[in-house]
Amino acid sequence: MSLKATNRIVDGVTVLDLSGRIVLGDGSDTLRESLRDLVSRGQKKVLLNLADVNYIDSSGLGALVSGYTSLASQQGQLKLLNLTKKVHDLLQITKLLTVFEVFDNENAAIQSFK
Amino acid sequence: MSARFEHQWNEQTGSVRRLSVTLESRVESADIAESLILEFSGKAGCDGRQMEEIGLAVRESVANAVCHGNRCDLTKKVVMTAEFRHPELVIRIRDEGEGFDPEVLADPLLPDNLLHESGRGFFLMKTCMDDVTVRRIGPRGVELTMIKHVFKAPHRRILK
Repeated sequence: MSLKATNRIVDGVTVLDLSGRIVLGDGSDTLRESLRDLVSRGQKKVLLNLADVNYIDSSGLGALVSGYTSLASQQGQLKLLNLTKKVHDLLQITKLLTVFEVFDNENAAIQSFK
Repeated sequence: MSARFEHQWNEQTGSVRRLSVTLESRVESADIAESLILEFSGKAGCDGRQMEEIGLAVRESVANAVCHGNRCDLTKKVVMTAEFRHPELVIRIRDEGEGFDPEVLADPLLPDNLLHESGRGFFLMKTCMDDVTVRRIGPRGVELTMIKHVFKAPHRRILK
């Protein structure tokens, strides 16, 4: 299953709704390109909605970290929303939960950017 | 189809006992290997969580063999074998690369390494499996062996 990504703007925050697997190949490429596009368009507040992402591999983790560092270098922020259990566990064992701000409520996530 | 594979069957139970797959040095081979090992591990008696852990370890090891071992050189192959030897599932991934020393890999959990884009694959293999070893095969080639104790509660479960 390839990764699908759609954008919406909520109170000045770009919410990227992702669906599928973020793995080596098309999945992580799609995420990298989507985030690169947002950065190039000057979007600095990005929230990744991972509710429909139930699988990430090390390449996908690399894409998340790449997006985080790209936005940080532009004084932007990348935050995560609605982690599935599997994705949460993967971020926990790789200690990336200490890097990303994670939310399970979209309103709270949006407000956190203000 | 970019893979060639063989099964050996247990005549009494009809279950697959051994799997051998030759994969091309393309990133898509990670998907193929993962799909095949999920089916194999299921037939070997692994539960859902074990299958997910084995699937992730195989995906990471084949991706590593394709991208870092064979450097996506289409003249080189990756061979995966899986064998169920009660109570262990033994998986071997062989490439034609220069090899690597797992002892010198950077620890992806160190604070200075957390923002590195790569370097988590071998860590995930070790976390998902009960034993992982690497050895050189002749002048050019590396074999990675991963073992999962199928009927023993694993020390750790990452995908709960």
